[in-house]
Amino acid sequence: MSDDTTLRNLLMTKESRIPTLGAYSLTLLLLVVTFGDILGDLRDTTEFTSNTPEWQITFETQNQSLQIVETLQDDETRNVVFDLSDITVPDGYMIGQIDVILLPEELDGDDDWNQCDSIAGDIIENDLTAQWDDAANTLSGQDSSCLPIDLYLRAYPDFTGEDLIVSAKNEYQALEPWSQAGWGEGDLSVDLEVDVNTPLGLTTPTDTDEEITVEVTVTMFSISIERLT
Amino acid sequence: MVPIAAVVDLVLGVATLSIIGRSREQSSTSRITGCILGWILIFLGLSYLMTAVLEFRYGAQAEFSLLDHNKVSGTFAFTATNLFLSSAIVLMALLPFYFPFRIIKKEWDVWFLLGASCITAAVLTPLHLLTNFAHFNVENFLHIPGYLILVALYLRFVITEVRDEDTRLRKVSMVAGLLLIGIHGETMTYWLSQVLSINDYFFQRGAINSGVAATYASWGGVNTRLTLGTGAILVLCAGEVWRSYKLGISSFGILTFVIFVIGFIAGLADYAVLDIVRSCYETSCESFPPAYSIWYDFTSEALVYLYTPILFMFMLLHYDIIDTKREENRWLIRIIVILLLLIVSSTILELVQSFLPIPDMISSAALAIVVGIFIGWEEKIVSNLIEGSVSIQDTVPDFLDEGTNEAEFRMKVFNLVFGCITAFILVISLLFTGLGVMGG
Repeated sequence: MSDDTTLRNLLMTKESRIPTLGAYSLTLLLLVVTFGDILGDLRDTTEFTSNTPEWQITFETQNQSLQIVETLQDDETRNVVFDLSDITVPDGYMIGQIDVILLPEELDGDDDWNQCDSIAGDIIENDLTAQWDDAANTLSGQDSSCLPIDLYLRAYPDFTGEDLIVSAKNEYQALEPWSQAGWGEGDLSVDLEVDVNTPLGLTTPTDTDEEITVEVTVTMFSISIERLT
Repeated sequence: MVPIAAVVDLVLGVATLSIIGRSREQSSTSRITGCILGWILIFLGLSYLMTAVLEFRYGAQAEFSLLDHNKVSGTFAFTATNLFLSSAIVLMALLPFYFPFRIIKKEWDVWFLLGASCITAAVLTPLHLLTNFAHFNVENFLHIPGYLILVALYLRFVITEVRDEDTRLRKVSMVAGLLLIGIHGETMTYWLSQVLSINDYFFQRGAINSGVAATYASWGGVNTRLTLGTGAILVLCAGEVWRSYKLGISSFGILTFVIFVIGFIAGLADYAVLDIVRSCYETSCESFPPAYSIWYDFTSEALVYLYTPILFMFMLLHYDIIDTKREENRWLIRIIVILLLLIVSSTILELVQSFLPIPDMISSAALAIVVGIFIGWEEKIVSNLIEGSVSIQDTVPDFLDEGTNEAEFRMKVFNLVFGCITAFILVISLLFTGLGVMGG
């Protein structure tokens, strides 16, 4: 008996031929199917790991305002609170920033009679979820020349409202920083302070109080994303 | 588990070579098989040792026993662990040509083994070093011939055993099955995932999360091994179901069914966590639930790190590859068996402790009980293991060709060649790490 015949007898008999060839065919079929399956994933993975594409994030903004008018006596300090849950945030939008404008009674910016009262405003840090330590915030302001005072509090991290270009592996990772819920929730607390200026003289009107309009503008944003490269 | 696997494999490997060195009366086929198994264990042990270094020194342990390439690429231990593993794979791929039967019935078959080992080391090492292991796992393609041989042997001897009711033949089909489990055991536990063709998502996760290379050669190699493991467990399961129906269930049949069921459950679990697997690509990587990781530790990881050396040890003892009858080998065998069982017991206890809040005192007591049982029953355990230990040649002499190559086997040459491969891997790993050309 030749070596080949002996080997054939050792590995296969007449009875075992069909099961063995069946097992080989099954393995081959599985090999072909799975190989076909991995090719597409391999291409995607290679592209994923070798490239970091750029994405343009565009912000669409909507504003809603709350207003309150307060009359303060000379040397009075008053705290006003805005419940931000009164703002209706549309679906898909998040609160980005809060602007507060304090408008004095006289708004001409002209202190002809030396009559402009000194007013000051502070946004008070509290449980309102916002970027309290952000360098871009303007939490305090003061004016005595009949000009409005602008205060600013950034609610959403890094929100400026301007379009951004970011590098990220996929759309999800590009949008991940802009998908955090919970910012801008709570009460906005603003302290107002007035120091009335009454100039001496017979012909000048007397002034003992000041009417301040507090206007809160909440900027909300939604995002859209486009792959650049 | 890796450091324990390193110790187990190294101790077993060295002990096997030591016993084989003394078993001069054994047939050359048994001695060659013993040497191959011994060196497989040593290469695996060295590879696990390096992996343990990477895990403890660099914290590079990633999911599914992978290493985080981003942390360790270009280090000496990373280079060495992969090259040792590569050598172990080559030897595992060659093993079916020599055991249970010497398939190459030529005088030069031992030289083929040594030559193939040297050539693959000489080809694969530069390939991996120069491509920064981008094509690692390509050596898994070498498993194909061995798989074809073992599947054919298993089916041939199961069918003949049932047809002729010749119980001797069970020994051959069982050892073919054990070899398939020893070589492809880990991948057998992923059989359902492979049938569902979802393992590619796991490759993708590994590439993104751990920096594992994504090349045709690398993924193709892993996919081939997974497919061979799947084919092997399906064949074994079908064979054992049929054999159990005809002749009654056996311990090997139970082992096969257990692995089959583990693979089935693992496949369902893999399917259940597919969103998490895909998260790395589609969103950002999410971690697996602890239950999934514990399942993996107890099944696939335990199989590759702990049960594979035990399986090899069982083959060495039960198939009389090493001379179990000789009294001077007996004490070494007893030490090995006790050591192995104790290490495995303590590891399993530690694994249990990782998810059950068992106080150290209770686990120490449990270990002490296990030690007591093993010492008390040591004689019986060893006797049971080597009882009925008969070589394949003695079991089925009628299947051996009269001209079987029993030329004198020089173990010194064998050890010298594989010792040189070990030294080559260590030196080249040191050199390339020192040159700083890798890991870029």
